[in-house]
Amino acid sequence: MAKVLIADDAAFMRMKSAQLLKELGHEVIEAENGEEAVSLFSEHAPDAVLLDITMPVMDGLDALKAIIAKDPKAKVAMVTAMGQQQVIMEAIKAGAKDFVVKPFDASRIEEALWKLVK
Amino acid sequence: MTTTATTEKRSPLGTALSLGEWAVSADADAVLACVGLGSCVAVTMHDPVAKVGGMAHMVLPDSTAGRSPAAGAKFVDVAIPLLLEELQGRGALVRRLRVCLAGGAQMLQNSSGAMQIGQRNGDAAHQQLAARSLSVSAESLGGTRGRTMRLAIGTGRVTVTVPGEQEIEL
Amino acid sequence: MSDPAMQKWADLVSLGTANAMTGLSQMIGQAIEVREFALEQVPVASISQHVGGAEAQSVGIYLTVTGAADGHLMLIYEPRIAFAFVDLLMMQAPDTTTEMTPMAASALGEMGNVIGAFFLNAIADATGLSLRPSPPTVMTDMAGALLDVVTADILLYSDDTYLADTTFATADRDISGAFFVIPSQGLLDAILSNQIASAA
Repeated sequence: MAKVLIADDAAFMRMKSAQLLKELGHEVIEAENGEEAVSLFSEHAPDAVLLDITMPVMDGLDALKAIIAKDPKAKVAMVTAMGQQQVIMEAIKAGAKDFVVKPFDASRIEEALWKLVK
Repeated sequence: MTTTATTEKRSPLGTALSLGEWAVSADADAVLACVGLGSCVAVTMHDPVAKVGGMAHMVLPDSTAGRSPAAGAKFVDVAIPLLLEELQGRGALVRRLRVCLAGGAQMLQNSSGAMQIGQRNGDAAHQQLAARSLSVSAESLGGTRGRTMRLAIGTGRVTVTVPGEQEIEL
Repeated sequence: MSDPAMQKWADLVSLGTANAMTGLSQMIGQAIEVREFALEQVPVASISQHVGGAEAQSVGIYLTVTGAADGHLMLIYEPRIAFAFVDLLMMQAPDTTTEMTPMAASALGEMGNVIGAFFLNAIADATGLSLRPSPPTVMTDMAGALLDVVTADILLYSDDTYLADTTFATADRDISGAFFVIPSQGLLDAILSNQIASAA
């Protein structure tokens, strides 16, 4: 059982992901944008973070960098439709441990989470 | 008599005026319309004595800012003088003209300054009309919803509708 | 636009559209049949006719594009079709969604996000250009009013545009729709100058 922070501006995606993660027995904290993700990360010290990229206020790549700056060992995976080569490389270079492309199967998220928290 | 579409950008009567189109008419049965006005602004002018009226579907405020030909009623600074001239050619007098405006909505809530075309169109229309001593009799501008505007040539009656709401008479 | 340039744009749009339909298909868990794909030069003022007329009450999903060029994408659907998509996305029975609730709007926004991103991903990877979408905005209004958002800036440069029109249908539900791509001048310039340079 892990404490997982999910960040996505779409309520629809937060609902789907939260449902999936809770069914897997995890505790879920939700953020609507990158800025909220960074402050909730500090507040709750989650075991894993799933970050969307395209979000208002602060996008997922900037949030990733801010989270890694706070904790270089943070376990963060990007979960996004933005699967461009340049973007994937930027995320991995900035410290993301995995890059899940939306739309995702439930099994892909399970796998990503397992890789993060093992 | 209704002006038929013989030159580019004039619209045949009976159909709504699309982006950049305009029409004038002295046909008592004619109704001019601009449908689905978002950031675009429609202007109507009607002379109840000469019994002639016109309407234009304007899209952008300033013809000097663009790179495309300024034909038709696409630009506010071209459309308003054009419509006025056409109506004066049919006996309309500035002092008798009843002028109305509708549209200029901001369809996107979170736009930066560069995107507020609706506001800029409304402002440009006011400016162009004032410069020709034309006062606006009534208007329905701004907001965030689309509008449809109609001018009945016979009566001079101008209406604005927003889907789901009561029709307003300007 | 010259014929070779038009062909390059057509190829990219085709690539982008195919990828967008793949993304949509994965998202709704259904095969998508592309019925027709056409790229034609049309008067900007006539675009509303392709979406049921300027007065047609419609749902618009809008994204801006930034990066190598600025532009925007707009998906426009009849409310009936938009709600059918929501039911598919939420895995609900047909006709469950009958109005635009906040969750319905969010689901449609996410659909727009996936379609837009997949479209741009294909073009970005093919050209090496960075093209990032903004978070989506979902609007309901007359088609003419929705289209003003994307057509006004095209009209600053040209009275015509290149409309790519893809008609698609899904396997079981009666959903067919269109996916239109109307490029902004900036996007066309960036893509075509990049493409032509790399071919030289």
